[in-house]
Amino acid sequence: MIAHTGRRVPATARYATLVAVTTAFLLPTLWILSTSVKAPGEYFSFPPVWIPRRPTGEHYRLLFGEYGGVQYLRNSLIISGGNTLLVLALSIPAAYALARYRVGGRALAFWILAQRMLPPIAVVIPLFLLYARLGLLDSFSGLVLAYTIFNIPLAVWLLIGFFRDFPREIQDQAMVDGCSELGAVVRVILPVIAPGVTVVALLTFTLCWNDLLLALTLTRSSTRTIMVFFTSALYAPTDVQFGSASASIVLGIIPAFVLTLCGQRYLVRGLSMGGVKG
Amino acid sequence: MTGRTAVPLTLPSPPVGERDHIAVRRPPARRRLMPWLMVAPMLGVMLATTLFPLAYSLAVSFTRYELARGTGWEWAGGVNYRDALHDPRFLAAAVQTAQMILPALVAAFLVGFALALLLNGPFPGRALFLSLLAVPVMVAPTAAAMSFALMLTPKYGAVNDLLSMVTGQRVMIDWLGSPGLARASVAGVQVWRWAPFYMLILLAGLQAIPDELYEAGRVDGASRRQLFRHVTLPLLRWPALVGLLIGFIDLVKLFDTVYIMTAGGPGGSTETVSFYTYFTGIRFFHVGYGAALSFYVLIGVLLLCVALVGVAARREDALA
Repeated sequence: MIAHTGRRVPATARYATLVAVTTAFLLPTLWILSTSVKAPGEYFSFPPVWIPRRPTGEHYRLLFGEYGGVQYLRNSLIISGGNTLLVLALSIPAAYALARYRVGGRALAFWILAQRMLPPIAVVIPLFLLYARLGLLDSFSGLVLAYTIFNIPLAVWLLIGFFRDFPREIQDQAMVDGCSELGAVVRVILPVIAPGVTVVALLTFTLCWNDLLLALTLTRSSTRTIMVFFTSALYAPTDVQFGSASASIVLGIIPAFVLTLCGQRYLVRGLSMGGVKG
Repeated sequence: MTGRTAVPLTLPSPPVGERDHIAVRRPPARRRLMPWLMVAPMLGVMLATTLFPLAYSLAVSFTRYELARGTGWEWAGGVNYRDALHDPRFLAAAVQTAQMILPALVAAFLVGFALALLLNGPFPGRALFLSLLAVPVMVAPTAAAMSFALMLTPKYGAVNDLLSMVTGQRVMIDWLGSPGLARASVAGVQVWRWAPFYMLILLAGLQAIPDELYEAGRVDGASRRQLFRHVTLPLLRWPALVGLLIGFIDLVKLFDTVYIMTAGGPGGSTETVSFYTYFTGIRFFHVGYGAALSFYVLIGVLLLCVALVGVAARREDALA
């Protein structure tokens, strides 16, 4: 599509602006990347050093060694991965039924939307009390379950869109040819909407991985996630931990990069709950 | 979209026997039950993880339940809700939340709109810029807050160093040390996070405008500026409204950035409603009171949700 809007932007001005803005937006990431490979003398030097003269992998080594970073990464992976699988298993059939049969009508649709927007603080207090009573605090199953609160509505909402976009006639044809309804969904529809489902999975995983509030409240030593680990590094920033904290942040933002570079096309739909078609 | 149930009723019915007729009108019980069976596991989990805890919390909010003092489910009536309205820290948190998120929303929207206009139209490298610019949307708020906290350190941070380079003299601003600057810093992180979001949705909106509208306008002799005012802006109204409401709903819950960057300080000047509620309920164990506070937040968000649904519904009417 041709740029119809506003005055025509000259090519060089456009590129210069874009390069400047993109650099500005990536600056926090670049700064943390640079800090994570700086020798301790360099990140406490004045004026600051932008590009380390002799990059070191020391902080990563310490992070994985002494500070037990592997454990926090593993916990984050187990919780986010487990939640993604659970959310998909529950959401795919539900979304199909909602798209095809409009089960529950408008009321259920509003409930799902409202639950997506629910302030986490409203569920954190009762979950804390209930989990304490049921012995679910600091358990993987408790956390995997807790994140369904926000991720099921998101996944269902997005999947409904994919199921609705799938041409009805193709499914009917498969069923006329002797496919059962379940067979048609599994063998005809799912392969076609697989890219969309993948992005839903990535989005679910990333939102789970990124969360702080629920993890802060419901994890203790054995399920502590990498986001909670950041905060403990923050409150004891000795000069060695400063670098390792940066190293852990670098690892913490990997899912965000994977998601944006793979599924940027679907991000609009995901973030606006389908309110804006991307 | 027409539901499946419409199909048997609209079929031209051939002359059939009584039994066949009934069979056509009423699909077998198994078929009617199946959609509900597919939704049931999801509904079960939603009931258990959301509806039940919320009901439990509502009950707790009417008690003097305190974990630290061992007071149990003592009925307190509406005392917690009344106290909240006279709690200076909660009221201050509400005002501060607004002070931080409203300017951030406006700034993020304007920056995002400018970027969307800049990225509208094919040119080499567009996809790369778009992908890189979209990254902040998905970066963990916790990680972003830590990065910004490091960049804002007065002596070793990147921000003061950049300002020094630009102004030619040593800038030593203590960004997180005074209430006004701390709030501005927290708001700045939200702009960084939300501007790319507005870029994405407004760009999607721009691309959805049919070319014919511009051509028709040009045939009628409209200038570029007029096309922008009378074609582009009106057609971006709905995506903009939906996006602003979603941003508003999300930012009302602001917690992570404050927890990491300022811990609510200096002197409580960056406390948000979520932050204060978290500390009241979870850290200081005033669960009854905290639950009541969380319901005030919930009601606020719910009202915004209703507005969002209203806007979305009106948009469908406008398009129909």
